[in-house]
Amino acid sequence: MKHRSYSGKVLYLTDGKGEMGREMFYVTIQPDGTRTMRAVCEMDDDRLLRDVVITVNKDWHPIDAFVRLTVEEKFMGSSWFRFTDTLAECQGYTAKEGRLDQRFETAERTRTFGTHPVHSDAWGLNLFKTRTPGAISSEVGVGFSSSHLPNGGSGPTLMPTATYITRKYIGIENIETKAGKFKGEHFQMLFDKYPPIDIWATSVDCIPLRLRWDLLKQTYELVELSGDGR
Amino acid sequence: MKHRSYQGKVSYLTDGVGEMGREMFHVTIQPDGTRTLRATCELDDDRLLRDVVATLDREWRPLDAFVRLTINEKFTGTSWFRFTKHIAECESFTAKEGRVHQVFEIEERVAELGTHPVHADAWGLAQVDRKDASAQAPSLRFSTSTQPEGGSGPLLVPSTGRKVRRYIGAETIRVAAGTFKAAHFQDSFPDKPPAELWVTGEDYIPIKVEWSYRKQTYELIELSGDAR
Repeated sequence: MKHRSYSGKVLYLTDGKGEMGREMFYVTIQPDGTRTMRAVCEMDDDRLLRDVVITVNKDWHPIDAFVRLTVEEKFMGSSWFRFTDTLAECQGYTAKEGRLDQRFETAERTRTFGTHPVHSDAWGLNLFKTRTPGAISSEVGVGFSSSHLPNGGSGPTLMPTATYITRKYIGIENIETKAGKFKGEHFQMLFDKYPPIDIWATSVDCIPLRLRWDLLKQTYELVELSGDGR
Repeated sequence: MKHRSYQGKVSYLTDGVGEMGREMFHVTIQPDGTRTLRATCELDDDRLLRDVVATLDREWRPLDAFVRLTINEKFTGTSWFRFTKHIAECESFTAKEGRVHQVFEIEERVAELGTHPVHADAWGLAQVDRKDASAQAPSLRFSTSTQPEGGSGPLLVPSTGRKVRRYIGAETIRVAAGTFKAAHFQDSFPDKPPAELWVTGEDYIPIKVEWSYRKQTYELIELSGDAR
């Protein structure tokens, strides 16, 4: 095999409670830069179980994805997504909406598809053309999400990103987690309605080292990492 | 969370060569018996990388699945499958066939979707009645590929009658992951030599598979979590 790969685990830590969820991930990167992330996310308080398999091209733009959700041990939805230079498509079946067939014509290839694993959020680091402190991400292309809920607990369907999420680059910082010591690239996701999300990720593969969101009173921390993660 | 889960790894061992592939799996079982298998399979000789996420009901019948394939580092296909009492359907995009939508009208629930991980092969054995010594075939079966290694499509391929199974007996099997009480089954094909399969427990976890057709043995080398 000519691809490289890495795998690991992120813990979801709630203030005053401790571990209230976890994310197991496995990423492969092909020689042409195409990368596939598999993530299994468990959120204990919402009793939410999410599977994501998403593939992006060398420019980190989505090619296809699969998202499956159960909430409180009940099936919520199973959906397949595909993106071309002119189309964003979702074929799915959800408990709420039934059989879905969504097609959005797009003027250009979709730039971002939010599927809600922390790992997916960390990939946002690649939207910065320059990583200079204070830089604002200039990525304003077509974007979708599989759910508009903060925990991703609806759908999964193809939801146009209603408001542009601004990303602000902060700088490189030393980060120590249970998985080790890292040089983390710190950036923020800024929202109109919510407090910012602070994210620290590795430089090349954008592996999430730490993420903090006051809205959910949670910190997300890398606790295991193995393989060829960069 | 009220589900239980287990995870592990199967090594694909080629006669006289050694490890030529591997399968990483993670299974969750909900309280109602619904189970989801996530498997990432790497076949070194074919340079094949396969992702499978397949969910079965408590009677081991497929509900929905996702399969993604790359061969020789090139995209081969990405497909989604869904099964109801009345239809089996596939939404797919493959390098060879382009955008495909398949719908099969059916009169009974599909008994099995062959997605090609060793773990999925083992789950197919849950359909076998161990009290019946004769060869048995699933009443309605589909596969995602016409190839033995699963290296085409992924599409919905009718395959009823292509594989029959027989329960051989209880045996103790030792592999790198430990020593297990296993149930031994045999899969027979019309045009290929049979495969020998050993699985353990109520979860039908694959312990060992031998298939002379591919000159390979598949062995469980890691297992953790609440496997039963």
